[in-house]
Amino acid sequence: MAFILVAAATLAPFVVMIATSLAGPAQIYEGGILPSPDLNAAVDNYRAALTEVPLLRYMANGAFVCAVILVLQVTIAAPAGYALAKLPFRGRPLMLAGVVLALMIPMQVPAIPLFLGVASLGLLNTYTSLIAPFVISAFALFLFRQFFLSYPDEVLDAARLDGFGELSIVWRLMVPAAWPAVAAFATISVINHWNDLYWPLVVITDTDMMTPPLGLVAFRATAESSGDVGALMAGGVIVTAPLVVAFLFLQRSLMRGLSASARA
Amino acid sequence: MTERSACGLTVEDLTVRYGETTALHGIGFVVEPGALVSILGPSGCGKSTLLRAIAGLEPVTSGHVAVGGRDVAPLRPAQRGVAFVFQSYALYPHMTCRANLAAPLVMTELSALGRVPLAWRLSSTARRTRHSIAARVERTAAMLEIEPFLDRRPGALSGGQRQRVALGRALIREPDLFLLDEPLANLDAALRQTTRAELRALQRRLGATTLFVTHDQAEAMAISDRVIVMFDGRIAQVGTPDDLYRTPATLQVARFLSQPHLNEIPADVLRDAIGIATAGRPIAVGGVPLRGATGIVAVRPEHAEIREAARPGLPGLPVTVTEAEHGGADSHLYLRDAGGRRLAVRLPSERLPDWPAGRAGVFGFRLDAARVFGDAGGPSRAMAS
Repeated sequence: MAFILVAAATLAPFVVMIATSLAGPAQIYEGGILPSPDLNAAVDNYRAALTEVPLLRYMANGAFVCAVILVLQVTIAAPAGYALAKLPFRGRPLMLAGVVLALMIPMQVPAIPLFLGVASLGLLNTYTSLIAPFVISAFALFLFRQFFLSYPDEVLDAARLDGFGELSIVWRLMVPAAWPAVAAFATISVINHWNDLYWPLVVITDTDMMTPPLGLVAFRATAESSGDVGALMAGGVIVTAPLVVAFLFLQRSLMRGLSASARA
Repeated sequence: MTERSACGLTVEDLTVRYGETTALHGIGFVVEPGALVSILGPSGCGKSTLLRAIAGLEPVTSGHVAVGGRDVAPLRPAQRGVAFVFQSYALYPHMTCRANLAAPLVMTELSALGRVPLAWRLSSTARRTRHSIAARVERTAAMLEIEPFLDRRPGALSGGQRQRVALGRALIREPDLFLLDEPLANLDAALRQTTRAELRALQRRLGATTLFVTHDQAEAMAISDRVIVMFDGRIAQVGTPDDLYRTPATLQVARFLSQPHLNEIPADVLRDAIGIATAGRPIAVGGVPLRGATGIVAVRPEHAEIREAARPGLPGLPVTVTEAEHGGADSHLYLRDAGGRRLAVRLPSERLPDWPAGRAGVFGFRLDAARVFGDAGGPSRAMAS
């Protein structure tokens, strides 16, 4: 029962968004709880969303930025997490403490120095400015370290005897064994950066470089002035859809991965 | 195989120290090519550390290790020509058994390109190497009879099957030296017996120089050409199983090899109880005249017996039965002498009912099979026989 209430409360805004995206201005301003759908108005709304602003361009930007961020995050965090979990070196406890500290600092704190740095390097309005601040993820590092900790040391010894180098150990043994953690992190990372509005708002002003949430904000500026709430909601639906679809496809394997990690 | 059979192991003055604690104190020994040598000792005696140091998994403080006459100090573990079988088997959990067996070959014989999925098809060398690796996996699997589960993951196998896969992963590299760290410890008793016989047969057939770590004296005695007994990071004795059984160098070794119990009687107590002569002839214990003997007289339960009363010519210590331990064909009967010492005799199980707890008797033993150890626990002067 509680489940249903929570689900209903969570889903309600989406239902309103979808219903609004399918209705014309007349129905929307009628004042009912849910506007009644109108096929012609719906087509107009979606056409407006896709033509008045380069929504597909925003989504392509978003996809590219998310993919590069994720690949770089894992490329950096997996070996680093392995070192923190399994390789004794001087200063390791201090570094681990640093990682945990970094976990506790919100993006907004270093935002201004980061912005100044990006600006002075002349990187405003570039993909680099969208990607670079996120490639080292304290969260990924910590998550991977926790997962790698439980990997048996004797297997690592066996691997060294079998001729694995340390990087081969990371990519051929640790990461495949930590697949549930990698999948969970990938999901979280993609959702975060696809939905991120704050940082793109700071470094991007050029329409061509905008990511979906920033594009929607820009769209709202025009849509509100013209009162086209239906088109704005259509834009919202289009931007949200990829994540929802991806989750529907991945949920089974994700759940399986997570429960496998719970069993192991 | 002929070239490899020339490989032995030499360990010289090997010391491993962690900060203040010393795990190994100047260990030195030689393993002849093709021999199976066990390292026997209680937990914490440093036997696993020794094996890991030889493999290069443990930093060595000082000393030399040579495999096949080649100093391995500058070599990484994979380059030393040694294969290691771990007690936990240490198989790669997310790989099939086939991939586990192939792993050492894939990592050492394939180029970086040859290891990239799909891309290896572009290189004819990689294709050839992959072919030969697959064939060697099949051959090794056939030898160990593990083909039926080659495509399963280790998690889906029984302990015995995993143990075979781990052995296969060691064998497939055709190493100069096998290091086995309690490979049978995780198997149940019946399987341990058959596996150890198979292991011995396989080792003989391949002529593989093998160092085998165990804490189980029966296991060490059963399969070894020679046994190295270790206590507290030092070698206590090196010898054939027969040497160790007949002439343990110290009381500690004798105790460790005499399971479940070693009878230890101070020489003066024995002298007070049985005198120094019987039927007009001086008594000698293990070749030592009891008259001048000092230290501890050690007697195995299988060389001792319990009698109803002392008879002329067969002296003994008065004792009381405390408990019995049924062991199948033979059992152990535990006794207590007048001084409160715990003694044990081995006897056929059908005689157990004659000796209920509380019954008094006389503890006697084969005088020639006993051994006398000096007070410090080391060999007494009289042991030079």
